[in-house]
Amino acid sequence: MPKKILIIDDDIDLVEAMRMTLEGAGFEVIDAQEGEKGIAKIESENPDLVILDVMMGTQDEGFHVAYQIKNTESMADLPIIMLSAVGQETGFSFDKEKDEDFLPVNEFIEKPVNPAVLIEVVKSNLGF
Amino acid sequence: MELHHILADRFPFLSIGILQSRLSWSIRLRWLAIIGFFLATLVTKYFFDLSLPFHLIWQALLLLTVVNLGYLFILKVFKEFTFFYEILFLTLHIIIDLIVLTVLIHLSGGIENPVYLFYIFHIVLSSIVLPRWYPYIIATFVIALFSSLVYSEYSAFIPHYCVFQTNAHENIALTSLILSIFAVTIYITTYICTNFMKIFRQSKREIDVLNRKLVKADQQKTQFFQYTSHELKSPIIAIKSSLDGVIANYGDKIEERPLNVLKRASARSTQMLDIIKELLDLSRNRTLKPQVYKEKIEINKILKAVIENEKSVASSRNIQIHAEIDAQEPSLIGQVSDFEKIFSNLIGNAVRYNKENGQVTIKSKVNNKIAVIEITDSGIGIPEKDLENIFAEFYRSENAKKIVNFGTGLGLSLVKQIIENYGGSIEVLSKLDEGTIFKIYLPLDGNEKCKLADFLKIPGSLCTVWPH
Repeated sequence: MPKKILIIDDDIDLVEAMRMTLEGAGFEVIDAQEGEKGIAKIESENPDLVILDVMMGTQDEGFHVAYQIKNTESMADLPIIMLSAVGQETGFSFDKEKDEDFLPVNEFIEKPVNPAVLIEVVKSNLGF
Repeated sequence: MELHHILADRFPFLSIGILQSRLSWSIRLRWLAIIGFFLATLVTKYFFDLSLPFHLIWQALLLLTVVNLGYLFILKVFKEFTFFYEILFLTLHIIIDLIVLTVLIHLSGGIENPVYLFYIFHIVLSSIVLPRWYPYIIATFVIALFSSLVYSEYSAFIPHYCVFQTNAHENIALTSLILSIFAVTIYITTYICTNFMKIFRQSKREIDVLNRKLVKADQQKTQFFQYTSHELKSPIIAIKSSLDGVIANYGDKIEERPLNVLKRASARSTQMLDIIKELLDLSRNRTLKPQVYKEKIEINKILKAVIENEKSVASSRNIQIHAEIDAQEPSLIGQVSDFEKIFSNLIGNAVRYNKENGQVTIKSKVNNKIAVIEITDSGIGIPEKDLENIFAEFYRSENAKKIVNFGTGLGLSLVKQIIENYGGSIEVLSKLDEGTIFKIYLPLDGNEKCKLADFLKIPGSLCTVWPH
């Protein structure tokens, strides 16, 4: 049974590029274009990991989605990888160690994501 | 604030700085006048044998000396005048000067002595400094003062000190003629000066308006940068992700030639992304003040880390990096990444645009609460015609393009902007084919009011001679 990965991102071309890489590595990929639909998919499809874009409709929609996931008991253990291009734009660097308390995500990676890095990060967060 | 604005509008060409220098200028002129007058009386006394009440004249000069010392004291003690008091103080100078001058004219012969022409200086000064019709008040005051003096001497109300035995002061026709011509001269001088100042102020107002427009246009440019880069970012990220995805997953199924094209396209999209990131960085630094950040900066530690980073590239071309870094760590508050950007840009350039077997020297020291960092390379140098443009956006000198064909042309603009955000300054000196020196000055904690002039006081700054 392949591990199921949910990508929540509003850029369908980016989703396609990541799907290609992840499916190539043997994962099953599902996607959602906005936060609310993403939450609904977590409930209905029960993915093993979520890749979440930080900026969708608003500057920080991704953060709200991440908080919602971590604050829902049935989803709290779901690993979240956050994609950001924000680090460049707001002047804050997402240093994981520094921001762990205030951001409920397991890993940050900056877009564009190198395919090899993507696979590595996903695997390590799934405990491979 | 409000009052300041109203006054600044009324005297648009005057700033506190100009006024203050005008006050000290007026004090210096007065010293000259006192000494000049004193020497003139000495000459008169010993060479011309004229009988004047010299002791009274010297007493008056002594009084003026004391008054001038008083002005100097006030200026030194109360450095921070409000605009209003500056003007008031200057008006007081003018009025007291006029009274003392009138006394001196009286003591040195009244209407017989053309020293009354000196009134003109005060008329010119007050016409420059005072607004609207106020100079005419001073002009009228001068005419009234001088006329009263002449009349008082004519009517023997006060004694007349004869210089030439011409008895001009008793000649009603001559005194009237001189007084009339004097009054006309004073008013015409006032008219010419105030009119000129009106034109001057009008143009200053127009310049100010244009200047504000320029500042606004510059802000709009920055916003435009920010907006465009932001909008360009998403498509280029999608393009690069798609290309890299294809190369990684289907690379082994694609023939070598098209695969190479894809790889090159990916490299070009990386280049574009770098430009966009730097543009965003630059525009952010243009709109943001570093006071937002509160990290303690260890300049020398960051310098050493950046040098360590560059060592592998340097040693691959046998370039030596020397570091002469003070043990003492300058204390500065800011954002660590800002300083990493400054140093990695400059040291990176020093290595990249160097020659095989070249040298890079980095010096860091503290001088009078200013951190001075100097980065010298023995590289290709910057052509003189390019030197003034190297901090402009997207500018890359021709010889730099020949050596390294990538590069955004934004690195030095960013470096300059960051340094200026910290109240610092950067200067460059270069000689073609011999190398380049970049010098950074950063005011340290407790030295926020540091001005460019302070940087220039540091020995060796603005070095215009290439050190051999």
